[in-house]
Amino acid sequence: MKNEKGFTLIESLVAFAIATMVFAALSTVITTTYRYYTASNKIKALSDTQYQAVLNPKATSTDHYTLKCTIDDKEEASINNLSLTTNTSKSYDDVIVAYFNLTNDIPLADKTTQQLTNTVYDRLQFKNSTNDKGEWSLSKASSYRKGDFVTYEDRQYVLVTDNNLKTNWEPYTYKAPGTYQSGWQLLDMYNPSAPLFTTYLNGDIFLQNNGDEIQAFVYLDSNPFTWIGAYDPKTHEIKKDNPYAYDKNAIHYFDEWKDNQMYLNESWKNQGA
Amino acid sequence: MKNNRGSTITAVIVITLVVMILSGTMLSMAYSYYMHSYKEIYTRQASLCASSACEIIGKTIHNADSQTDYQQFIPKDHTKTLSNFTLTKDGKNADIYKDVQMNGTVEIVDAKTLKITINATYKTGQATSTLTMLKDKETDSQWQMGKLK
Repeated sequence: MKNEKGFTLIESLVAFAIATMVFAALSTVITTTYRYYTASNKIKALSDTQYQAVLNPKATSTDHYTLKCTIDDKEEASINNLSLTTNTSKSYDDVIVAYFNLTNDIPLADKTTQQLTNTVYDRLQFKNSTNDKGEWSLSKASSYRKGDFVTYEDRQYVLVTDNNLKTNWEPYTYKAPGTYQSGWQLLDMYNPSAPLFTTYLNGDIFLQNNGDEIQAFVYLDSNPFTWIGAYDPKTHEIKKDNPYAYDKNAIHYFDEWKDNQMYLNESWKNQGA
Repeated sequence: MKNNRGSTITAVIVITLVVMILSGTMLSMAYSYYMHSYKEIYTRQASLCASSACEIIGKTIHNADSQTDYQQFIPKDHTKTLSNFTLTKDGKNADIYKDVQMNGTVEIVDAKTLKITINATYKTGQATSTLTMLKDKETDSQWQMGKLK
């Protein structure tokens, strides 16, 4: 019996020790499990917040990225003027959560409004807010499409042809619209100080300021510099008080052209004054 | 009495084993859940890359003019494959995209349906996005943006 009592005591002590260790281990497991689940939920919540933020315009955005890829393993293609939106990094439990998203902010073109016949009348007819891209921007050079309108140094241009936009016209295209090889056609002929570097079309009116007076010309295929007469910037008319100040045979070109200026900005009209 | 010797310790060991197995399972599940949350960040990023590439290419095809080189994205008689995607700024590769790998296809499903599929991988995350583009009539020249999945 003596031995039995001793064994029971030792057995109880060992069992107690094991139970204590199991309890400690169990506590650790429960604590760790709880921590894992808590951390997971926190990371998921943070991920959701960051994900929404990167899709939100309030996130930081940078323009002018280019996405390149290879088509059919031989042809290179690139899409320009993309915006990259990124999160400010946030972390939980040493897990960094931040997203980035690439977007193309160029609006979808409505092809029904982008028809062009290259006459003065039609160029003006097709001017509308859908195609108006605002101020000319070098960074958007390759994004313009035929029929798009831009302003550059207070003058307005329409892109009349876009084939070879990226190849043959460099570097002219990328300087500014209005250069003779760019394919951009001047719409607003009211700026008397503008040099004659635009590829005018038949029927276009342009003005030249010789210092004393502003002379109006019409661009005709038969005679690119057909003089019309002295232009009055106050009335936006050809001066007719002096019969020698205008060509009565050419005056109709100015009237016809002006009749077609239905979209011309009033402030630009007055700029010549 | 002789038979009762060691019964307590045996019971404790059995209980310990059961508890250890249950604890191990619980700990393993919790860790998996944690790792899933962690890896889901990469999966989401891959999904963002795939869907944004789909949208960008779709928009480019939508805006493509018959005279622009963006026509190169539109297949004529076979499915076009897209590979080696890179993001550049000022001629240099963007660091933020260095872990992104993408490839995809542009496929004419029928005369009025075009499908863009992009597979993206970001670190351990993978995702696939599909954009369907449509034409109202077979004779229309413009592909319209459709559903993105």
